Amino acid sequence: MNNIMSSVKTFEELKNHATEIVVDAVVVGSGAGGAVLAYKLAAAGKKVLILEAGSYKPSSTFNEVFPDMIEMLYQDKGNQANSRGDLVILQGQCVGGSTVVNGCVTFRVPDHILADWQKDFGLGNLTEASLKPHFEEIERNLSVHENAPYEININSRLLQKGADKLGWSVKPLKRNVKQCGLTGHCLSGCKTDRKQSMLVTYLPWALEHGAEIYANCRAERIIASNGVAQGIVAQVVDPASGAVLNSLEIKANQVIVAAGAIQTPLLFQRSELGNSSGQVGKNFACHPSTMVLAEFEQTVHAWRGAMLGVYIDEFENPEKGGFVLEGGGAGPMELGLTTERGTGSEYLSFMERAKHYASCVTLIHDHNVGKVYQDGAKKVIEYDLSDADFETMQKSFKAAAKAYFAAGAIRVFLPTVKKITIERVEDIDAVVDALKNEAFTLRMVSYHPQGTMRMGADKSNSVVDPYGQCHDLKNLYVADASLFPTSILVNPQLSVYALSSYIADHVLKGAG
Amino acid sequence: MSAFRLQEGADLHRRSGSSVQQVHLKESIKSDLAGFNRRAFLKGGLLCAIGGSSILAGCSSSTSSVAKGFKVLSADTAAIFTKLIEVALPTAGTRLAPVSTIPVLANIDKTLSILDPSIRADLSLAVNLFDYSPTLLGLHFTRFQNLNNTEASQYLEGWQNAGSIQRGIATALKKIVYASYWRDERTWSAIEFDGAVSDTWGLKALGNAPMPVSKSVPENKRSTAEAKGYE
Repeated sequence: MNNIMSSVKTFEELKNHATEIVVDAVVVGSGAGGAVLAYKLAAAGKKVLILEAGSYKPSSTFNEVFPDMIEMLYQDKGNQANSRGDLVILQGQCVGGSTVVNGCVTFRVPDHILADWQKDFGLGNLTEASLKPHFEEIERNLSVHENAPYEININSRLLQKGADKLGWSVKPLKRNVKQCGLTGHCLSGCKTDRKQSMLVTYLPWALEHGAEIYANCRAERIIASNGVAQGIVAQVVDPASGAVLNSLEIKANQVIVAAGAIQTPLLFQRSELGNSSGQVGKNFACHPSTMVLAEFEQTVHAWRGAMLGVYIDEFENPEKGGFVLEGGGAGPMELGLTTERGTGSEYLSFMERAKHYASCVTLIHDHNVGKVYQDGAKKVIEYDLSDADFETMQKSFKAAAKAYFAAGAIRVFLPTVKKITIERVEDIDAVVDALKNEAFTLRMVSYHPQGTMRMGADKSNSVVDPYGQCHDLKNLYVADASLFPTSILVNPQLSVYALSSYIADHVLKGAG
Repeated sequence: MSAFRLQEGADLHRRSGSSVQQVHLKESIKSDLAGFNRRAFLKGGLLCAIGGSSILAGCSSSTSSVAKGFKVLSADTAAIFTKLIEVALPTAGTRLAPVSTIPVLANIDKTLSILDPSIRADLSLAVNLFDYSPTLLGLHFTRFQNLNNTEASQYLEGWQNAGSIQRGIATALKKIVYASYWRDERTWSAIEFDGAVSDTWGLKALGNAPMPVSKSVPENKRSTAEAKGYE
């Protein structure tokens, strides 16, 4: 069967392409925000061109070997990090973006977050009611469902058991997956298309409606004149050598930037546009996450089954802590790299018992303390964990340890750069309280960069208006997680889809 | 910042003869470590590799000194990583796959070869600093790569528990060694990791999801680009 995605144009076809192109809308980025918006515009009859800096990799090329897939599908081959170097920031860089390599977890924007946005940023238009139809449509289209019992593996059941014993609220996660194959390889891309990523949903649907996708095509700057966006200048890049093979000028009535919370502000900065507020690239947040491990007498095989099963939401509200714990499995490399287990034989002894470790992911509602900017040829992501967020992180470790000990864990391993083990429940507070907020204290990973193109009603402190349009330029929209005025605490993909769908309606209204 | 460049390493080693000079050099290293932080040389992902592929490039950014059989590793840097492999992965006597049967060094070379050259160059400073510091700090009379395995292991552990930049470097070095071992599928059966399973299990690809039923497009919503000569 011919897959319409085979019509995606790559650098080989684009290197000799005509340099001037005219469309109704050009969308920069093919991830969560760009795909949904492109589909809606294309379905409304608009001529849409999607530019993607990454390569097109069909799922048949995925091999379920995580290191290989990091090199093939992730931004900077997995080497994107904060300037200090103690926080890895993972994003997909391929057609479909991070939706191809995420863990399938979906959440609507929590009500308390929406309330903050309404109160603090004038986003009275973003209510549970106004977003509800968008969430419902996306959830329907992406087979979002609450994990059935068979999708909750032993790893998650141990976390659930601990929470139940402590009387804490714990729930099955909701995921956008259809007939999950239970391979545990979500982060390597879904080889059998069970994950309902943009690669197998909104992008092919957009193409069915006449949209086009140019892969290996890096947006260099936004074209604007007299306060109106008019297109994009893009470079066709050989992914192997980095050589620029062609330069394209795409003229469009609507320009939508959905390149993610790191690349979107960089594009605005390169273009020297849209920054009258001075907020472009600022307010970076990223849900720094860690993995807490616990050793059990029984075998766990944390890598078997659906990767993410349940989550403890007892502490979700900032007044109760501002974090969640997600039962997330891990392969051998993650197990050995997310905690310090000594050198040599000590480490190997730890790894010999790999099948006995349960793991959970800590996610915190972090503050928007970072910024993203270009320094010559290099991008810089300045983000150091604030003291307040470090305290939240400590609370999340304590909760995870308590849950695991309640479930019968022998010991708990902290996600620290130094080797730290909690042997008894009585020791939890003392051990965790001894941690100091310094560089290279924790082993942190971010999967959720956000906040660098703040949305708000006040153009003096936000970049885009409540409908996603840039305050400074007409017909220039942003549609990705960079819009979030605060971090949303939970996995953001569904919120990005819904917000993008919401913005698409306003783009169409503006298009007349 | 007082740069500790790859080419200067040997000079520094020679210059470390007198105690006065050693004091000076210790201060120099401290300055370098602080400078690394200021320079943000770690931004390329020193601590990367939750899954193991990313991480530290401890090799020359120049291709002129690449050792035979490698893509980027110089003979000197290969010796540093060889020592690291010896002390980090002593698999003899364990149930794990013998490290001698896994091309760990070649995997390291492959990983480093795909890094951005600027990251590789920056990180080479860290590797060389790690290698030369035993002499510069007066801990030993030789470089890390020449320590016996007991001393080398203690030295590595010392960095793991030292100041923030040192423990960052130690962590990164261990990560790249560990990841370069575990990425080989021959290491998996010993810990019952299943690896790739979809083909083994006969899982079929579902392909693209069916497109939702869409509403008809109103006339006034249709493309204006065609009128402008698109294609």
